[in-house]
Amino acid sequence: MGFLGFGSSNDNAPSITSTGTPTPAAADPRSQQIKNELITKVSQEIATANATALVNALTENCYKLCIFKPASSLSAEENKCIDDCSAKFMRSWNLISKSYITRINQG
Amino acid sequence: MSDLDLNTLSKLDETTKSELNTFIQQETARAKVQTSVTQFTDMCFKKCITSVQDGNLNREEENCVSNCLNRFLDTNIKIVNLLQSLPK
Repeated sequence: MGFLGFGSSNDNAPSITSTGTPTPAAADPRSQQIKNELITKVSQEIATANATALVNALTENCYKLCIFKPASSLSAEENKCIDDCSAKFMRSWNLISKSYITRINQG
Repeated sequence: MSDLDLNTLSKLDETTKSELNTFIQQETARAKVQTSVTQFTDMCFKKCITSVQDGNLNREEENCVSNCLNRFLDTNIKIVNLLQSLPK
């Protein structure tokens, strides 16, 4: 994610100006700081929302496939089934992600 | 972290505003795709995975998941076309 100025507002690395291409006017430091805070916040919110949706889908599906007679605790078989079921779910997720993105790019 | 309110946002300079805009648009698009993928996986997992022997997808399950997604998208496209061809 090439992001102008992101994370590099304080280092002295030479910027690419040798070609004479005008870089956008340097943003003022206060604005940059607010921007970076916002980016962190938004990224965290999105990550939390994604993780929540995934946990819910995994729990629902694997509970259905693995727990037939809820006992006082999870048995060894139930534990293994949940592990395997989660692995299957994530493999399906990856497969669908790959195929879906391929279709989107085909138009 | 300082308070972020509309007043603070309105004081951002133009460069920063446009950078933020780009970021939000990218992340929104990415989040939409991720949400869809999770929904499709939920739907196709229910259809295709009927038992758990190990952590792998066997050939049959893999085909089922792949067909499930692609036929769903075909259906979606067909429905959109149907609606578009309705007399206005």
